[in-house]
Amino acid sequence: MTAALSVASLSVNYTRTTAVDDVSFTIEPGQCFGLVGESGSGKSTIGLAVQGLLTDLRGVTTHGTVTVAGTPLDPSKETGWRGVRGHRVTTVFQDPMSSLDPTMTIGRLLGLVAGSTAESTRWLEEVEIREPATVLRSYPHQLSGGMRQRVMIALALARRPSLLIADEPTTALDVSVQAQILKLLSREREQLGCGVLFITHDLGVARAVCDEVAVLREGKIVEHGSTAVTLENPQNPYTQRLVASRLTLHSDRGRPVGLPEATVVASMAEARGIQDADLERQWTEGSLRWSDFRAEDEGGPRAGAPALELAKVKKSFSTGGFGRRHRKDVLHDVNLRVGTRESVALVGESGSGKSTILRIAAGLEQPDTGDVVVDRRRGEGVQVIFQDAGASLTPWLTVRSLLMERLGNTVTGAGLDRSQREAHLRTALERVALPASVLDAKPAGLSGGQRQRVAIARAVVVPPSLLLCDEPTSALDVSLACSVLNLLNLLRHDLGLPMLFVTHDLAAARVIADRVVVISQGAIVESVPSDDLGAAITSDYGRRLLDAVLS
Amino acid sequence: MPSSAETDASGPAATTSSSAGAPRARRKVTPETVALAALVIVVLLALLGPLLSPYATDVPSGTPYLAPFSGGHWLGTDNLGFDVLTRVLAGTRISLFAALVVTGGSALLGLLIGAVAGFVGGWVDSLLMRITDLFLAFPATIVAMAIVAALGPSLRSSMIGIAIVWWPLYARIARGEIRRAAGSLHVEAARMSGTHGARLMLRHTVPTVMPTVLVTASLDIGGVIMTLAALAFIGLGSPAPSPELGLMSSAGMQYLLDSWWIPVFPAVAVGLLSLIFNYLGDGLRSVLRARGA
Amino acid sequence: MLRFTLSRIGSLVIVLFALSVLIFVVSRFGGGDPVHAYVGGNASPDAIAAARTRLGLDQPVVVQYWDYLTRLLQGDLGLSLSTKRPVADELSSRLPATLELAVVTVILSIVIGLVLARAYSLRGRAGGIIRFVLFSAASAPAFLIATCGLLLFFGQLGWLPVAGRTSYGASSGLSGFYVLDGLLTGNILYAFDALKHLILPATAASLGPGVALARVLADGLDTSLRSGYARTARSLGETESQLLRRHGLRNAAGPVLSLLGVQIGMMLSSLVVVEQIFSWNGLGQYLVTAINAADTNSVATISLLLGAVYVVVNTLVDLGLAVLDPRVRLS
Repeated sequence: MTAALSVASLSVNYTRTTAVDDVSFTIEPGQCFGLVGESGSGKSTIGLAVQGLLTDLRGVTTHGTVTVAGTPLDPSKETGWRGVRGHRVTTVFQDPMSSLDPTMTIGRLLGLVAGSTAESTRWLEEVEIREPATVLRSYPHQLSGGMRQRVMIALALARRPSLLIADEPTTALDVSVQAQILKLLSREREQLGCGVLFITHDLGVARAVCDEVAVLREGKIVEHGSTAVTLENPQNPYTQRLVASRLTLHSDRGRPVGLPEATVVASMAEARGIQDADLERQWTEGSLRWSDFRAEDEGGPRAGAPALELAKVKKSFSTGGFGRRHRKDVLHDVNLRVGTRESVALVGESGSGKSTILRIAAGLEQPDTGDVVVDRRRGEGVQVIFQDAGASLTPWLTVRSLLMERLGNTVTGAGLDRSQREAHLRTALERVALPASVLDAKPAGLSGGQRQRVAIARAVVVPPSLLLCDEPTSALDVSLACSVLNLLNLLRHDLGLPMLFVTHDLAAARVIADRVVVISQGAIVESVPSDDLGAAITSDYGRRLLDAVLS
Repeated sequence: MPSSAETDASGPAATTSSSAGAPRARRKVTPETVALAALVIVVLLALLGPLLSPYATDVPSGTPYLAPFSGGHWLGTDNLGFDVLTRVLAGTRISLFAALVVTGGSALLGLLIGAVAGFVGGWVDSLLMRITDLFLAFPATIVAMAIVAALGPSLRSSMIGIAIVWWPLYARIARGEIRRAAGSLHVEAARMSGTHGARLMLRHTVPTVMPTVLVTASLDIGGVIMTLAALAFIGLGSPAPSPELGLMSSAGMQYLLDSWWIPVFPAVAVGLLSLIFNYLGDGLRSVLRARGA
Repeated sequence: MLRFTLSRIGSLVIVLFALSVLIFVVSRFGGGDPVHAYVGGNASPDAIAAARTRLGLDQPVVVQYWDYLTRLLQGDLGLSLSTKRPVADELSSRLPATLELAVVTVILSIVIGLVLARAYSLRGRAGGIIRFVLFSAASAPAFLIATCGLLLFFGQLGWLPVAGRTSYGASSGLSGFYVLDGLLTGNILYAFDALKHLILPATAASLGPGVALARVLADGLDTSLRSGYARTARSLGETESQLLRRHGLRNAAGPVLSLLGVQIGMMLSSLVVVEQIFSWNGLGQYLVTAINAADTNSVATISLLLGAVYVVVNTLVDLGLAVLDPRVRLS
């Protein structure tokens, strides 16, 4: 039987960098082959090369051979690709909004590929779209993200390709939609018998759908084999780190997650007052526990004084323009309490109202009705760490000015002289494992990980009475996300910070929080302890979120 | 083991943008630098013109009428015996001065109105923006013509007329930028870190507005120079002996076929000035874009 | 779409009303004295008083404006203060000339935009030189292009006429568009002659706007062809020319159309200059005459007319944008 795709010694060079370096693999018909790697690993470039989308481009040189369903092709030249690209090999891209022409109805777009309206309708039914006639008349912006991705899949399948490339097809979608789309892709693969090249950064997704995986790092395949073997028992150190960094509902939440990582190790060793090497050894052995880190001012929980209390909070926003303005309720009667030393995770999908709660707790929005009480006794107010840490730093100010500004605005900082403030800044940077040299840098001069840590340092330069985190890890690669989670956990235990952590990811929520609060459509559904989360969640919605976390 | 935490920095953004790196690299020897040099030369010439030239702009040099180029008159003389080069340099100075004043004035006015609308919000914002939108819906040059004609033709009237139709653009831009900046994450983060009021505005908000306004203004100077020249051309500038470029060109039009240098050189000066500013504005804009602001 | 259209027409009415107020205020309080222009420099006090009454200047301002507006809506544009003839007559005899020139100018600038967009996106050294030449052309004032055009095509080559709309005398045709009249009456020679007279003035007024359109179209196509949906189209096997036809042009058309709306304002003012240079007996030339005679009523009326054209065209542009982009009309 001819392979759906065979790639031999593929290399792609951009003007100054090598994106793909001597990569070879084969996908049999009906097989799902996973290409796994972090951002910048070259996985998407391979996806473009194997459908001939890197041909005749200035500044791109490509070598090697790509054989699609028995037809050998040169990925550097356009010759021969017509009739293959879009016919034998098609693609489902990550972001279904920008991938569909906003000025074309779905019917016209699908008609170009499927031929007739009858065929288009059949394909929409095939991808489980309920009202195909309405959808055919719609424009992309009128559909939901999940619907658009189903349309993308219909477009890609309508010519019955031998090879389907799925480039992060579920990354932009909510978790519950993600599961449905993956199920759909698997079913179609079986029906059509096409090979699938599945590109993803998410090991969980790869484990759920792929027969075989190749792990990419800096353009090279570092490990390759059947999914079960490679991801259960990785041999390569990089794969080991990736696998260890993946959080599941079974990760031990009493200990740091992932493998030891130099910067976090340094901060932890500092906090415990031991050598880096000793701490790293304890971590590796598994004897390092968060309970070993104790806040300086011990003393039990202060009774009756929560760090944050929301009571019967309601909020609505007005939508629509002239004429048909109406109000949309985003929060109904929300009650939420974060105890003095407690860490609470607020988990929900996009549009659930979780970010609005965070903004209300931060004082960035006012509730329509209801009470918001923040414990002021610690004196230094609430601090927030945003998802896009880079954008939360004023671009034209240096790290020193940003931190000094925060320090100067606090009660603690106001009583310090210049040299004491400078010392304070350095301590804060050490706490997040940044060298003092970043003080004179501006945000643009720092890496993404460094910017995230500067944002954390600013928030804790004087420990706040409550730390709010708005999905601080969801835009990060797994290993980076792990180190941010460890850092936040360290701060929480070391400084005794109460924390509200907003996320869509149950696995991350469980690691960082003592208690998980599930929110859906503006209402709190349930609140369960993080230990034994799987058994404790009882609500329908919570179970659905749980099922969607693939494990 | 080395940290893999920083790999994201040299991630896909870096690699994909480098594929378009070839044209950008060549840009280093930019036409903008040439335009900047040209501007310096033109400004110097315009300022020093009266000192360099042996002729006056308001007294005929006496010698030949309608003479073509010669050693004494590099760009020839006109029908009254004026030295064309001297008058073109004087006109350039007037154009530069008037355009800078008009652009600067309307940018300031617009910035002020836009900033008030953006910061205060509410009904003040609605009212100011309704007025701004009305002005933006009018055809700028036509309304300017009507205003200048009503005020009585002169350079001063032209400057006032153009400024009246030009500020709304800046008000819109300034208001939009301030609103955008005020809602941006770094301003929220600064607010969260306890910074409020004037400090928040001046330190974290206004700096994002200035580059956009500056770029718009520098792109507009060329347009203002052209508009001023067009108004002068149709008789809305200062009256006859004044060395305005548009007026010189229109007055010299009747000598076009025999003594072409009289109407053409003032027109060339207008084109050159606006070309220089257009290039500078364009350059400024691409610098700003490259900085990712 | 109906809702959108109605709301655009609503704001059109508001803008036209505001424009009429602005022009009225400016022309009444600008400082020029309409009576002076009406009766001349050395009139007796009685004659001045009589003229004030006759012109309605003794009434309160609001009444004057109301009067002005109602007469305007009935098509009574008042008297030209210098020629004492009704402004409406002066305008209607000249309107076809300006319309003909304006239509040709708009068409020409669109053609220039379409043709040059390709040249604008050329790569390499040749592209750089072409962009510089185009940029220079766009920076040149209409009267520079007009003078250079005249020197070359009339003075040196003798291919094109120096001024006027025709070499044969006014057309007796119905439309007042000389080219059209010539074609309708079967007089090809006449039409061809009128066309030759149009070339230089139309080019002078359309080169700048045309280049601006070319830039925006080139930019828009570039953005569109790099977009996510272009990548999808390529991955579905579309060729580059199919891609351009199906997705590129339509997505790039929006910015081009909005710019065209703005550019029409610039063209209208360029036409005033160009008519002056080419002795084109249209509204522009009449405007310049009125300015020189301090005939404020005529100036105000022509400004209002040209302004109204601009506002109406831009409303049409907004509607066009809604047709092109479903996100606008369905929002």
